[in-house]
Amino acid sequence: MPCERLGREPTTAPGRLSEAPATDGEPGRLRSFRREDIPEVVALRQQVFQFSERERTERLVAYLERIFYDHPWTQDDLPSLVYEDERGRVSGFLGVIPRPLLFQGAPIRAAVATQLMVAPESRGLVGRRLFRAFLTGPQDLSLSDTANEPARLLWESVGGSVSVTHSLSWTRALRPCRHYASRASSGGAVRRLAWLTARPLLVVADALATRLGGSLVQHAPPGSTEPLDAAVMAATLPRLLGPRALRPVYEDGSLAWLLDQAADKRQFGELRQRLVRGPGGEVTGWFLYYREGGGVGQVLQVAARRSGQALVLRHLFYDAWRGGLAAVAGRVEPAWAAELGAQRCWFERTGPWMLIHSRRTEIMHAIVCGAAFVSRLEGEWWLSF
Amino acid sequence: MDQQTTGPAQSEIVDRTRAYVRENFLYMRPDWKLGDEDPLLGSGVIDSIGVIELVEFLQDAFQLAIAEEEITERNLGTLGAIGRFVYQKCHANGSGGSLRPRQVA
Repeated sequence: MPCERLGREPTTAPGRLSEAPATDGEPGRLRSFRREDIPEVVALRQQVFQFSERERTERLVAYLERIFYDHPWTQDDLPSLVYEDERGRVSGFLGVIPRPLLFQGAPIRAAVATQLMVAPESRGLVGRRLFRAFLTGPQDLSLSDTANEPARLLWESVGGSVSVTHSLSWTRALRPCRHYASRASSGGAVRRLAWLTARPLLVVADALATRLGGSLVQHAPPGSTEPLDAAVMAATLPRLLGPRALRPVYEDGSLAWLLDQAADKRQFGELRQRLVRGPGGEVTGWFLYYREGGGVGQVLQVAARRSGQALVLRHLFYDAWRGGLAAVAGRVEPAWAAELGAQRCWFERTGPWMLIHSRRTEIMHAIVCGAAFVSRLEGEWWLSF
Repeated sequence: MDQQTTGPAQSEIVDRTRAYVRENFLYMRPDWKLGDEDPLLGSGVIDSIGVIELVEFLQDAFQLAIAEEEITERNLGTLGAIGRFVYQKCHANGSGGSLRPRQVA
């Protein structure tokens, strides 16, 4: 598999953040985010971003407090960053969430960057300064997995890399007529109206296709599924992944909190967590995905020993099909790409980018070349601002 | 050949940069007044991505390498600042380390 640029150094270390005013002649200053900044950051967010899952200001304030101050991985030397302009106003922000990982059995620290925002009147160099300060922090690995195109360009311009494979998405159609027609309907009121009109017909067409057989039929796979909780995931993950070079630490008790936050994300429906057992009752893996109505389920995480990937995917697709979904989609993990392709998923490069950076080339290599378990639960995707 | 005699004049740097900014960032706003000391950043002329493009332009147009720590408002904040900064780099004495070797291809 071709690897992207690996382990490039940001060209200059800016020095650690100081609480003192900037002395390099640049206007404003970067400093650590403080709890009392939250109302200003919320106001900035409401100015910069149009979409929020939390329309009411007090809910967004409470969410920032929870995500940046009440998470289980607090590290004083990995703070979120704010840019304070020359008048002392917070006009730039980069959220940082530390995450403990294991690399080749040894603990390392990742820092997840999220919610880069800069007030319109401060645009130019502030985003770059925030990213530079972040990438030169003490973490072993820097991550951001819902980056838009401007954020990608900025990240790369200060020495970061893109994992192109992780920036691909996969989709498995379960009710193809409905799904493809729904995709085709996006892009205009007339097309949408045509889709709504044809929808009953498409439902019949999908049902007919299922009865006729072929690849569209969803048979119950061998084995079984059951509810999955954080304790089982934490206890089982090391055995499932085996000698995988890089993986998250779930054994520290943080996973229950993380899953609660993920369940709080409502954009894609309700979070469904299922453990998969093989025909002999042995644990094969699990899947976590969001499902809502007859739309597209979004996968948060799939895990399996390598020999169990096919079974876990089959159970996922069957579960989603029984739940009425038209399709299931997720982010490509290099270790799963072959099995996803074998199970008639298609791949495309749309949506957010996964940005990565590490001064340790071996860590970058592990991520890009499939020796890492870095799901949407390890980045920022699970967040819901 | 002595670099001091071959580098562009400051006015040429400013003029070429002004033309680049007008063509790439202000093509929808031809009436925008762009004086030598008018701010380029934070005024809606050049945003964060524009800065990346501007740096690439300066490096290509004047055959120089701009280090990360040189990407500052002091050096890039106005056309005049760019003129002074690029002129200084192009006419620096010594090793000429700030000049980028021309690509042969």
